[in-house]
Amino acid sequence: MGDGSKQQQALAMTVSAVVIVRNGAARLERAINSIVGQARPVDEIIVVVGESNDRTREIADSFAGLKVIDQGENVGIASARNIGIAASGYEWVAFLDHDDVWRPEKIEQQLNAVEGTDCDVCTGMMQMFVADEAWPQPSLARQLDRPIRLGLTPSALVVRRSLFASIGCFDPSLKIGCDADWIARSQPATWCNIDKVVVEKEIHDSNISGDVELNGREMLRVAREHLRRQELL
Amino acid sequence: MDEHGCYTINVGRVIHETLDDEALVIDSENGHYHSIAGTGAVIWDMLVGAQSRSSIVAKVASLYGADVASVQSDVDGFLDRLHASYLIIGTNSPVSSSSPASRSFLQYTPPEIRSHTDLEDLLLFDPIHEVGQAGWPERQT
Repeated sequence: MGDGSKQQQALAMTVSAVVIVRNGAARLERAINSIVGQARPVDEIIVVVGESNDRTREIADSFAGLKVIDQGENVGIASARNIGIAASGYEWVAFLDHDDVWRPEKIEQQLNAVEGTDCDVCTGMMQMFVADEAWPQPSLARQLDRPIRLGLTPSALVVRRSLFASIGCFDPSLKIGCDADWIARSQPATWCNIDKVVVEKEIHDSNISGDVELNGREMLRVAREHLRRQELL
Repeated sequence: MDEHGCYTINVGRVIHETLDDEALVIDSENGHYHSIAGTGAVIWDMLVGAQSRSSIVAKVASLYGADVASVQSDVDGFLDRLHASYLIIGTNSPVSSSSPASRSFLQYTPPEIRSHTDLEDLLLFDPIHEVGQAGWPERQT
């Protein structure tokens, strides 16, 4: 392999980590530490901070070498992810929501899986957990009946950055369904899945309170638009 | 289901929406989604209320200017499939659904349901986010 090819290969395996957070002081440090502690270090860490009234920004700033970006007036999950994508400078983008935790081997395992392939997206398994055992709620039952499942959530993915140019970024008009919509739109891309837990997602009092009705409406839209795309193929 | 009983949408299990003469139905138990167009969508909207089999047949025949006998077996088969798929359930009390009078009824076609499984994992994923109507909600206290 020539030097040029080696350099190209080296660049091909670089990773930008994109963390999105709003009012996440209680869990942000844990999330960032799970990136910093990767067996295979990422090449940059970008933290997109939504308007917060707790110590979120202070905690993000306490880490050296992070690129911390205020989300500004573009509220919502999709906009936060898109800001992170726009600011990223490496071949692969790996997302982490502030209440999720990467397993230490996540990036290493996923880069090993995609290296030398034409894969555009790699995911692994996701494990749900409840840290606060004093907080049992009936609504947790559904989440915990399958504690380990395929990680169809951004925190489990690494995505080839060029894929966003071809299929677009996250749709800000979807407040909850933006992740499912993007994953549905990415189906024509080449995916590879690894059979290892790469991310842990804590179920806690604020993330279980999502708007069920809005979620239902948005999932119907995701399915309907997916169906239209399939019919056009 | 007893022929004198009624059917209604299994709202404890499905989420649904009708747009442009097509009903889209997501089964939250298995992640399958179903597309119901044309005459099927008209029947589906009738099932928002509770309707008897005979009432549905009579309304379909009336709306499309067809004989009851000519639509009976189509409607029966359609309702049987919806019921077997747990998308509708039996109930004892008829409830009027909103009038379908404003809808366009172009031509009667046997009601059909197209079922899809390709988003199963995604629709079953049950995403968790700190999101509400106004964006990300405040932490509960």
